[in-house]
Amino acid sequence: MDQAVDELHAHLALFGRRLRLRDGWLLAQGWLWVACLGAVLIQLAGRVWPVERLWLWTLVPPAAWPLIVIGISRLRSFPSMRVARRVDAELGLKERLATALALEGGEVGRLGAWMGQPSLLALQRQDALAVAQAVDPARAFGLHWLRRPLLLALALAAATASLALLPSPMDAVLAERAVVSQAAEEQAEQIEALREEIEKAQELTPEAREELLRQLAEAAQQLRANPGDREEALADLSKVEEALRRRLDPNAPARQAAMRALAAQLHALAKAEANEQGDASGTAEALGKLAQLLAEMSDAERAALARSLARMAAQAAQVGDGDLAQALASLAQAAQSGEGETMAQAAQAAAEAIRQVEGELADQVALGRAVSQLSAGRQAIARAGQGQVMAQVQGQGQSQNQGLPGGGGGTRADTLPPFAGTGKASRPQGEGQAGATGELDQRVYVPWDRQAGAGELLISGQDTGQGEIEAREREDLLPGAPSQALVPYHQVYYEYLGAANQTLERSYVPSGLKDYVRAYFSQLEP
Amino acid sequence: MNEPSITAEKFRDTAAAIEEQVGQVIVGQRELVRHTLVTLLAGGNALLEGVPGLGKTLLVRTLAQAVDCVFSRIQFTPDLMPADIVGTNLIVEDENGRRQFQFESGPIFANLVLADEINRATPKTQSALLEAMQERSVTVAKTTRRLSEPFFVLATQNPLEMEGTYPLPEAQLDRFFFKVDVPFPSEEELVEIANRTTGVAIPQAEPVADGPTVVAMQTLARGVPAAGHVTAYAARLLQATHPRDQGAPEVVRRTVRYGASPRGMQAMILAGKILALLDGRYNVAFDDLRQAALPALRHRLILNFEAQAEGVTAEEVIAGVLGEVLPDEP
Repeated sequence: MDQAVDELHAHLALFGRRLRLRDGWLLAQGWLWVACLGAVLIQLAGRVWPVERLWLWTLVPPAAWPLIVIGISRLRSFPSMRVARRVDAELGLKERLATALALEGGEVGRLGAWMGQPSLLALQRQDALAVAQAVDPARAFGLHWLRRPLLLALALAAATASLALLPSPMDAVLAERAVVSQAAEEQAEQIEALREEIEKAQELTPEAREELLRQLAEAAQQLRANPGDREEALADLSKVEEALRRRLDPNAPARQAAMRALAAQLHALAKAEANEQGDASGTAEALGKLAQLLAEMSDAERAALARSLARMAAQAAQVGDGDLAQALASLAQAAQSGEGETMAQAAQAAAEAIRQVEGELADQVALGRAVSQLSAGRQAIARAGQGQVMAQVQGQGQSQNQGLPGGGGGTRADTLPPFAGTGKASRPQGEGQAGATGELDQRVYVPWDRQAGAGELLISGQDTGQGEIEAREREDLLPGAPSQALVPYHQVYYEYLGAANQTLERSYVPSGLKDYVRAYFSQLEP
Repeated sequence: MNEPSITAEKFRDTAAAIEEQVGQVIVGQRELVRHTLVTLLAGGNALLEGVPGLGKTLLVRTLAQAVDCVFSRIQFTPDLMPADIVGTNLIVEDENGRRQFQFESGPIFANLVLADEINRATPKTQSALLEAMQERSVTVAKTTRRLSEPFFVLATQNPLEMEGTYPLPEAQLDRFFFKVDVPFPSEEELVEIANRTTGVAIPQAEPVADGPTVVAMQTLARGVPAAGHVTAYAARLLQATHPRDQGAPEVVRRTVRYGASPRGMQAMILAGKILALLDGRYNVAFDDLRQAALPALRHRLILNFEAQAEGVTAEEVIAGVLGEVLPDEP
């Protein structure tokens, strides 16, 4: 009896392996269309949203499908009773195998004792074994083809291939993203280079240098992390740039000029040769020499020296260098008194004040360079890939573009500094000339170029010396726009950009025109 | 229980021989014969329902001839008394002139009893027969007398003439192992019936078994193993006939007032064992249960008023159950 049971188990193990193989085969065929459908959906999604490496993503479901099938087949439990019942059901064995298996354990004893007929149990086992021996697993559980699911999968695969081969509207978006990402990377490298330069500059004050380095590192990091989103990159750069710009001193050029004049006058008074840079060390030497010359001076000369020093103190006070003015005034008093020791101490204090001012001016120069670098980076990112997008927009519908640039120019004229808004900016750019840049950009970015290129004091808009733009009053201002107020251009720009983006998101605007509007604002990017 | 003195092969051969002998007399009605034989081998009692003249009496008589058992027939009428069935005590004088009671056994004391038109007798009389069916004994004047084995009652009902009848209550119907419908013969079968019964030679069944053989076959049949999942399926089928069961089909919820009793499940399994042996197997299969479900359950379902109004039959309800309650997926 035991031998019959063992033999039956051996047969069931064989049936189980064959059933597992057959089930996996049928599962792979029967549900292959799901994987193909997944590929189709990914392709369709790639036409709605920009998806990097779409082909690879498309191949994921079909490639993962065999692994899933194998995993399911391996993980599926196939105990002997289950195999026996399945074989019974599929081959119509009338529960012979399952009954033999169920009665092999304690049930035999229980039933046998109750019925007193062990012969029937033995007969049942022999019957089950005979039936199992007669089954050929390969024939009984053959690997058949499922035509209908396979045809469905084939159709879906063909649809996937067709979608992949047809041009996608997202191709241009992806290309633009790549270009923007590359431009962002380049700008990050340039910012890093500037950061290294600033790190080596010893003339900066430590606190200002550390803060500047931190902000530049943050900007570079954000650019490198950018996935190709132009708006995000511009916003990140603008944020850092704005933070730096707030630290810019509008009086810095005046202070610089005053310091140069001061150095020249001190050298003249000390009858010393001014070094080329006119830096703080040279000026301190001149002050020391002046203190030494005091003993040799007559009262009239000391009085003249005191007047000169008092005049210098007044000049320093005029440009806002209070400490330096105080030090020079003390030096003038010491010169008037003619006390050498007091004069030497006052000269030392003035030299220290000059060094302090020189350090602050050096900070301003570094800040100016950083702002200039970030501004240039923004422009580069804003222009990156614009040619491709413009070409595509032009191709999508010339008639829709007619007259639209004109409206943009008018808007821009409101926000531009007066000397830049000569009227050319508001000139409609004609039929489909969405890619026109040249003259308009030159005029728009002149204030920034002057500040960045010449290192001069940044005075945007009207030359008020406040570094701000005076918004011109007009009747059709957009809601929220300040009138008769001094508003920075970049702030106005982002308000307009935000309003435009909201309109694009909430209203129905043809996709071609959306790109057009975005390109337009990219060109207006300060 | 003693070891059966018959083998499975002998069981199958004997059953086939009985069917063959009955088939020589009864034309067609294969299912009727099979179900009647199954009831006999299960030790149960059958209720045949059919119009007069379809051979119900002939079937029982022929079966009695084939198994070589004592046969008696009781024609149930409204004035039939219980004593007419079980017998009574009569006062008799012995050779010494002394009078004493002597039990005169009734027609129930036979191996095969045909209770013809059982629904025409009063419930009191019906219960006398049903007690004998259930207990396999009768009690007269405080004396219990065992009935001889095998004991097999085959009751008949006429579904048409219901006037003046006493329909069997549900509790008594439940005591019948199978209820078998006797269908009207087909044209070919009618021709064959005419040929066999209007000629000179009337076919007669030859005895191919005897009482002890039938008892041995009954014992052997009970020893056929049924796996747990097969028995569970029988239980699920039975539960599905109850309208409040979660697995009950819609037709049951809508048309059944009370479902079948556990005797229905016992009948399905026991019949399944016999069908398995007749099929040359030594275990009960799902198909055996499904095959036995209709005769085992049809008289155990109590349909509601809606079903009667819509003309829904118990057979349709059971077909609905069999259609929806399938064996568990392995």
